[in-house]
Amino acid sequence: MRSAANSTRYAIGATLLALAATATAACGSSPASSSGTGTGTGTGAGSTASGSGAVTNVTLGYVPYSDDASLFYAQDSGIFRKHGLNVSFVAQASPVAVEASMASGTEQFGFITTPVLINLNSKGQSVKCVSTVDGNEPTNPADDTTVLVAAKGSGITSLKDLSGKNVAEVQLSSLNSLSVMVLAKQAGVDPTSIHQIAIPFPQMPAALAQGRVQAAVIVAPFTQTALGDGATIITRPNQDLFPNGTLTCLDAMGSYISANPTIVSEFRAAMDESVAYSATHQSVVKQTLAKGLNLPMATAEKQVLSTNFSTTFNTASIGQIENDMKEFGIITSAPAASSLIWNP
Amino acid sequence: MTARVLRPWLLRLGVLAAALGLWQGLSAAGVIRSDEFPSMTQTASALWDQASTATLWSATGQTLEGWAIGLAIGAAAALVTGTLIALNQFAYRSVIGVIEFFKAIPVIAILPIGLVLWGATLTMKFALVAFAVFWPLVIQVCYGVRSLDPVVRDTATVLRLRGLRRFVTVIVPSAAPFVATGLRVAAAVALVVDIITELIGGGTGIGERILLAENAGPAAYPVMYAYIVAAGVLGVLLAGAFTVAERYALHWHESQRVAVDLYPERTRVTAIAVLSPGSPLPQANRPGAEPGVALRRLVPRLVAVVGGVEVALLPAAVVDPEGGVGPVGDRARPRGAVLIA
Repeated sequence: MRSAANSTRYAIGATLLALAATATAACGSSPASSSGTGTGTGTGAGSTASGSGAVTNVTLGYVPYSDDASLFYAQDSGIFRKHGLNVSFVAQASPVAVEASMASGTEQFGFITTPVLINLNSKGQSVKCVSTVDGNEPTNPADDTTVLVAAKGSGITSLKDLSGKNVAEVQLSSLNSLSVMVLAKQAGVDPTSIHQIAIPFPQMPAALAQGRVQAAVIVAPFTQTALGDGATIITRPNQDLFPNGTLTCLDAMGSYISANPTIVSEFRAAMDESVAYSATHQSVVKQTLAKGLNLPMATAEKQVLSTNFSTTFNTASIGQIENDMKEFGIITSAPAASSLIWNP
Repeated sequence: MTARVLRPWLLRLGVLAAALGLWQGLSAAGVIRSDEFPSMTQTASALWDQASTATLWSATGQTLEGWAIGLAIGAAAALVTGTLIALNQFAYRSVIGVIEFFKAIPVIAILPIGLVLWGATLTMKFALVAFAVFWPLVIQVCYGVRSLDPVVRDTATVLRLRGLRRFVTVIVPSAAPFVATGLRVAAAVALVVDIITELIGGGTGIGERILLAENAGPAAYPVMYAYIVAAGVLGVLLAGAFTVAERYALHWHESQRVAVDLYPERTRVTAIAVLSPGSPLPQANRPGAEPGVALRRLVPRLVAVVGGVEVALLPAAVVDPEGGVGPVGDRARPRGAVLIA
């Protein structure tokens, strides 16, 4: 499972994206309905894979993080190719950029976080999870790389102390900020009394050390820096709220899925195979990060894969996030959680 | 001479070395933490590693591709549009507000639209670069075309220069310095936008490499800053190339002339004269020389040559204080030449 902090960016941008996509479709150019006829690196996805040696070119947009190990492995080990897929990878900064590229027809598969998935569907843009990235949220705390930390000297020892404090989050209106509000409310703190500040992960340790924020939802490998400065772990929001939850996935547009069920099916099978292999061969899979993220091999092997390696989607957790988003006014209505997931 | 040429370069290198030394010193002293910002030597070493593989060079090539295509499209469109707008008073007054409006839109705001239209492709990159370059350059071209010196304009009118000839011999030389400056700035803007589209949108190139390294965490920070340094170096090289090109293309313009080589004092235009062949003007500077020839040699800028009549801007140094072309201040009239201003 991609750590939730990573998993949860750009919910606001998703709205803009949905509007832009709708507007473009309305203009008649209808890129959304295209099945890979764009000019990107992976064109020709429309030709159906027959499984008898025919190879289908598809393009996948991903956000580069250590939790992409299973995804990289599916590519590097030839699992995708075994399933008749020639996958081109495009690194992008956020799920919103990935979804926009999918709407243009140049990408057929992409990384998405559950809040963005919900947001897009609630705005009428049909996208569905077709496979996990590397499984679901882990239940073992040692595997969960997303933590809420308090700065040294902040006086914060529990969620109750968050009232009136500055809390750093990678993105506002994300799963991280949502989790902080939900946890605060459960602890009896007025969520609106917390000052939520958007700060990129790499800058969080400095912001904590300098006292600009008193707490932060931070992820590995930046957590280690913060803890080295004397910050303490208050809780693990994803463990508290969404154990075994589906917080991210690889998705495709509804129109693409209905036009190319065989390709989507092969993609799902390939990813499930890679994740299953990852569960028993973590050290092998982590080595793909050296090339994929341009890391020294020693650093790549030290990465923590934040996952339970389960490839079954957790519909209940998606419904729970929908309810939380509704409660805090991020969305007004959302389709049934089961409709956001594709199953063969 | 050699020392004079070398000295500014030595100064620049000295400042660069001092800045790099300060960077390394701050890292070594622990003021900058290595897990937040790598030291100069770490970054240089990472840059060397990247440069010794194909990664840096292919990323640079991809970035330059989007930059060049986008800049070419945006600049061509801006030159045509800007000229047409500026030549028509009504058009200029009507659309300048709209252009200023579009100029203020940050490209990052329309990036999602670019992604929806073209995806993370080269087309998306150069389309957004062209958009970003177009608006400021259109305004610069408008100002250039409209900045025509009233004296030159009136001279051209007196000489009955019209149509294409007026455009080529009067308007283009007048607007050229504005356009050149605009292009130089546009080239820098294009590079910034190009890298942003890669960093945020997912196009391939230097921006994509920065994103990958940033997301990989502190261990990859030296690589991230190596690519940021590479982007900076690329920017310096492109700006330098444009400055050199400008110097060659506009060698006749006073902003580009190296006056000290030709004249004992700094060139300052003080007079415009219409010269006929055989004009005895420059005798003061070149005794005995055939006047017209000498003048042409001394005055590189001929605004127009029409039917043997030359309109020239005269530098102060060639003006004959003894009754030739006098300084504008005392209104002395030249013999054989008509002083216009």
